[in-house]
Amino acid sequence: MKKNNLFLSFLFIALLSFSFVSCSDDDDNSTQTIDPTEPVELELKNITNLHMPNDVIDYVTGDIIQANPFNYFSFAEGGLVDESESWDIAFKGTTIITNSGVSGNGSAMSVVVDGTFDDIKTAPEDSEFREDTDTELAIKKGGGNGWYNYDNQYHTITPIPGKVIVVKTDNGKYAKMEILSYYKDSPTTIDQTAESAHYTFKYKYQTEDSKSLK
Amino acid sequence: MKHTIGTLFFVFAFIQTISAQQTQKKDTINDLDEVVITATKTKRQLSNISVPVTLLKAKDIESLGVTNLKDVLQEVTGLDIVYDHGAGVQVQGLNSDYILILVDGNPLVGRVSGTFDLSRINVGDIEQIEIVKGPSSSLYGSEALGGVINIITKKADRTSASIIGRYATNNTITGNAELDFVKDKFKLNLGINHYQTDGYDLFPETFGETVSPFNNQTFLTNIGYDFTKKIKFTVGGRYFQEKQDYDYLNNDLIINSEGNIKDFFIVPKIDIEISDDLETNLRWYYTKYKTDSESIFEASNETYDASFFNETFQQLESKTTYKIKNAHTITLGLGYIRETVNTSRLAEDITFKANNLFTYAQYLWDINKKANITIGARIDKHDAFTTQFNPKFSGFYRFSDNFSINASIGTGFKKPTFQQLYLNFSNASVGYTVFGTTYVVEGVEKLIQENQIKLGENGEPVLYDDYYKIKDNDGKIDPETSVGINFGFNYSPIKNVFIKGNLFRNDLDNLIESTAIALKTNNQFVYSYKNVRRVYTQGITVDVSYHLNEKLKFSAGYQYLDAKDKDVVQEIKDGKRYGRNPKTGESFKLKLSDYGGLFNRSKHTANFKISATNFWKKISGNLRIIYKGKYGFADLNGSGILDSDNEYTEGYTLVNTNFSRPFFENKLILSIGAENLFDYTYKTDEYTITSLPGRILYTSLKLNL
Repeated sequence: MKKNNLFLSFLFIALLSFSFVSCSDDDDNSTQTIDPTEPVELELKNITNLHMPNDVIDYVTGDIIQANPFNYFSFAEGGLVDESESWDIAFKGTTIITNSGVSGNGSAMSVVVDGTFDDIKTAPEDSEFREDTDTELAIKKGGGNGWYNYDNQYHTITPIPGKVIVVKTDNGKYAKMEILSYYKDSPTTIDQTAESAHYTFKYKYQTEDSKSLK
Repeated sequence: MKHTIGTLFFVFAFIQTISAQQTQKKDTINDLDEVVITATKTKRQLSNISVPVTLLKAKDIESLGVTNLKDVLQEVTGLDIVYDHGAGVQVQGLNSDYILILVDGNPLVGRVSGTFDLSRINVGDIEQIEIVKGPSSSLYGSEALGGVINIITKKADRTSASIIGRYATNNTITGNAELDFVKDKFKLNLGINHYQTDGYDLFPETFGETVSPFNNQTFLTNIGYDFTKKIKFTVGGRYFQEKQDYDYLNNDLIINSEGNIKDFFIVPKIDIEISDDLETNLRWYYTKYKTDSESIFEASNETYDASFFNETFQQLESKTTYKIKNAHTITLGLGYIRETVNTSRLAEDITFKANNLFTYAQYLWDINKKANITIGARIDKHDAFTTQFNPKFSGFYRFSDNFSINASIGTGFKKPTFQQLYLNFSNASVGYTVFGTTYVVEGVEKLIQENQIKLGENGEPVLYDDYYKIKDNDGKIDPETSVGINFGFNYSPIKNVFIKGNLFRNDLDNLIESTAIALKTNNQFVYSYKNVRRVYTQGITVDVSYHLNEKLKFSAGYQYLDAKDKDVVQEIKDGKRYGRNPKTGESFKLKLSDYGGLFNRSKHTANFKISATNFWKKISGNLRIIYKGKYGFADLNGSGILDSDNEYTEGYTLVNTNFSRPFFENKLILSIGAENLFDYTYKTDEYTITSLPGRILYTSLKLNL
């Protein structure tokens, strides 16, 4: 018996597999910038389980069985308002419209920014904000386009991580919001019992004339 | 865990018993004379082949006691069965889409969403199965990116017959009959298989069954006639049919559905041995795959849905092999493929046709007894996309009787599907439209004329960048391509111990995905397809076998797999990918270590097998342990990728066993066994593995005539 050979062969395989797996890479290039003129941190506000359902549609014919209204939200008020009042954005199902352009008479504008909620410390340039147009909403519709992903297999709506909606409100202030869940009580597992069109989101609203959203 | 311990205990007890009974005998092994054909399209000894090949002989397959090809392949190191529109085989981390399944060298067709459903292949009338890993498009053309699985059917060598009856859990009944008839120059092999099952239901609380009852029948035949010793004629044929009835709920209304699958092939072939050095053959292969389903509302008897899909594929191929001084083997091939598809998913009743001319050449040089090299390439000229050139190089070197290495590099491609090229489909209920790339310009123009495309502020139709890209490219889409590298070794450190290892890396490019090209007036999109994604798979497989003596063999296999989307990796590096904390709902920047790679791939898979031949009172048996490490099943947090703990299954172990005993001088063989002996099932809030029905017990009786 050549024991050595057996040992060597195992060593050989072990080395091979080791050299193979050890070439995984890892890098972390987080940069931190500290603003010397530190503005005051804004108050974090949460909205939970705001039910804003879509129209009821017969998916065989495509007909609308029951039309539901938009629900109008004002950052200044911190809640829903009437359409006749100064609103910023409005919800119906997964659609979010902004109070300007084809959607409203106001002057609100929106932009979806990539980043974490905390990363977005200032509002983007005004030129980045969009009104709703005939062809495209400021907060785009459709799975994977705007704020949510749609899973074809499980038919679930999940907010895309790293999408922050920044709104220049109807009264010219700035707000940022992140949608956390589209289902009632923000379940970690979305199953058949989950009730959709229940928005949970967090936001910060700058009451001053400042672009800071810290 | 309890099961694992129980299994181990069982294993050791088993070894003890057998070892105690054995008298040490000189062993004669190994499979040095095994011959395979798939790797080079010429007969070669397995022991000096230059690419990774796994060979399963009929007796190996029979000893497993299983009836379906998917159950056979499940136990092969480096192969995995993934359920997505059927049971597809994954090789080196590449999905069923990229694996070509052949019967006697002829490609089987009939894929659903890319998956070739192995459930259609019942084990019976099989001589051997050859699995070639790594790209093989240099010989086989499209779809042979990750590998080729070639099922070699039985050819009659003497008159004989056998009948098998098998009964298993879930009222599963299998009957198989085989007849071999040889008279002078005439040979006939005939195999008939019937399979039926009651299926199973993992969710008794909900309406409908997980797998509804179904049955299928397979007929296989090989007829041979030797005109002379040098001119031989054969015809191979297969017919398969499957029927399944299933019920489901739609808006609380019960719907009864009936689905049928049929496939068929015939392949006449003539082999001519012109001289001792020169052989040529010509074959024509015609195959058809057909499915149809009809669904009606149970209450009203009105039709809810009806659909069909018909596909034909024919191939005329001539192959010539020329040997010079037994050291140089040159293989040349020339062929023509014609495919048609006709399906209810098209707006008009059109049969799509595609033509493909191909030629390949291969040079195999046996430099000496220790070394050989193979160089080959194939050119595919297709109607709808650019000509494909796929080369492959491989080499083998034997350092000593117990150590050899092999290495290969090759390319592979997968042609765009009919759907990706020609589809013209509008979803009536949701309202979106999908065009194959060749139809994009015409289709969009038509929609504009019908005022179905939304007009922008400037009064122009809203068409996206990808529309113009497809238009500029004349509606052409590129095939998906790959480069694969394999490096392997065979080592026998001590007598009766064999170690086989293989390192692999596959880089896939141009993977096709759907993309929005225009906006419709109903605010839905028009989609087509584009080449976008790049992925890689890499890993190592190791097989160790130990033949304690003639009666007792152990083997173990392991695969480490790393499969990732290259663009996702780059985006994470660039800080553009985010995850979401399931508890707080907070978004955060993903790190590379958060990314779990492609879905449905286990990083670790392993198997262990003990087989004992005639160990006690003529009984033979085996015990197989199959481990499948955790894998990602779906994106649950909206990040689009696998990055969260709850997106993985747990790893699990299945234990299978089979025992058999011959009676009346092998005239009768009785087998009993179990698949998934410890009744493992996986069901969580997030995910259920629906392909695991739990323990299956079976008994079968084989009669040799």
